[in-house]
Amino acid sequence: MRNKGLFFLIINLPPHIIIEILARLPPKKIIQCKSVCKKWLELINEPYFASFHFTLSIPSLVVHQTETFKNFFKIVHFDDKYDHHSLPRDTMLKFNLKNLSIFSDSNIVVDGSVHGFLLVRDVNYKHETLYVCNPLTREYFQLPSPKGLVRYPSVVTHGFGVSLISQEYKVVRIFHERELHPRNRSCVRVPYSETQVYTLGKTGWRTIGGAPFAYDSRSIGLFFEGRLHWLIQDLEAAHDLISSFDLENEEFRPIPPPFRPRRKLLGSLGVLKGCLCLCDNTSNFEIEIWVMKEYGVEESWGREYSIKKIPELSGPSYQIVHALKVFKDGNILISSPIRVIFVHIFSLVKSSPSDFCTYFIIGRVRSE
Amino acid sequence: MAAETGTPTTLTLKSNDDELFSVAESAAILSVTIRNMVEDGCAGGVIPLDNVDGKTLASVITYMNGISAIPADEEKKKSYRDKFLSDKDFETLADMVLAANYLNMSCLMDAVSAKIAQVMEKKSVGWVRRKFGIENDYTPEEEAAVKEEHKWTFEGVETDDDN
Repeated sequence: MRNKGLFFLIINLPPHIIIEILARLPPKKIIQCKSVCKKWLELINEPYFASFHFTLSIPSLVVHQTETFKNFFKIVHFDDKYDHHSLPRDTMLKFNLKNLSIFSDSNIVVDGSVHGFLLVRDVNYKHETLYVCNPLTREYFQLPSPKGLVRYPSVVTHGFGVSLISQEYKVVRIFHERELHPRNRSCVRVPYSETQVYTLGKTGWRTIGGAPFAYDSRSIGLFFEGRLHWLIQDLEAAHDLISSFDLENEEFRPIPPPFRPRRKLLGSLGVLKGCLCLCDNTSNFEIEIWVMKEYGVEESWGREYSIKKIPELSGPSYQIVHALKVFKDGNILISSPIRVIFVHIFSLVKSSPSDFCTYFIIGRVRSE
Repeated sequence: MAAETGTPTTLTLKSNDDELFSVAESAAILSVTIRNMVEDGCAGGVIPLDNVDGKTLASVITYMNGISAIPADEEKKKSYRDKFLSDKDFETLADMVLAANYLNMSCLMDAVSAKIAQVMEKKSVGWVRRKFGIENDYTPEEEAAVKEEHKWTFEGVETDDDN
């Protein structure tokens, strides 16, 4: 390499340095760079590149926006400094979901997220379809059709995550037949349930048996620590509240709850500051956030935040809200479907809560 | 090892075009390559750096001195790095990324890679090929197919109103 000209040096940037550089480009530019030459296409397509890029990427929000004739994902970076936070209106990227499904009457919802990939579902009953998609590269693929059609009052809940040891991406689908109370239409019994698992890269769905808990039909599996978590409906007064599914050994296990609810919770699970949390909107005046500081340890639950609702939101609540992020300046990003009816947001924060719902900041947080 | 005497130690580094540079050991050991040589006791005389030319080495030493003078404050270090790289052209940055790689200086490697990425961001595929000295090995048909597959990335800025 002694005294070589600049040109010679530059064409000799070794592949690992090219990767260092490319991984720091915005996603759109990375994909453009596939057309530079065959070597670069190969470098970018390698699984190592995707995982390296993920380690460098800044957590951001995926906003699922639905309006008449429009159905988008937008990817939004947020600013998180000690003195301020912001969610910019300008979006980095927009992904038109019309292109995802071949059906013009598709109704796309988000059913989970892990490592920047989304599990999305066309919930139109005529052609219910699951897809896994990367909203940054707009690449997606369709999963094989699962067994069993969902017809009211049957319900399904999904979860999407990656197993801790084998690092396999798995989609879990829990199917419930429900018997409803004749008057209030609440679920009183689950005569039949089935848990199905689809491992990405393998063929077909596997049925692994029933599901030991009655799942809250509005609950989507939260991926955290190699497990999926759902809020459950306690039909047998056994005081269970949270169920988890280990993606490695494919077994269910209850997670000890922070308290024994007296009535049905308006709750959601999330991850705040690397801990499992329960966001409870059952009270008329406050949103309470419980945090399990040490995963799996019942005594480590604590009521970490209580957020006094602004007057216009006080009163009987019917909505589930989600705690998405604690900003360094002390504000908490909460999503709720109340105010901005057509903007759906869920978080892509690493090992993140994954749900679609609406966003707005509802007031200052009082930490306990 | 000289550092044990308690006086600040100076190392002499030699570029591949035989320029000599003096640098405080405390700054030079930001390079893992140099630190290993010091720890192995190979740093007694002159440390030859066969993969770095004088111009680039001078710049790297400026960086070593600048960054090691800043106390442990990540924000300040970052703003120093930004300022240090702000006036460097693409060729200089390419030399520096190679030097940072050879010297095993991860903080400089990160910063220069990010800076190169920032320079590339608004540039065309043709510019990237020219600057990286890459020969386009796609046939026109293959290139058209790759571009067609990822057509949206070549479109202009998308506004909130388009579909």
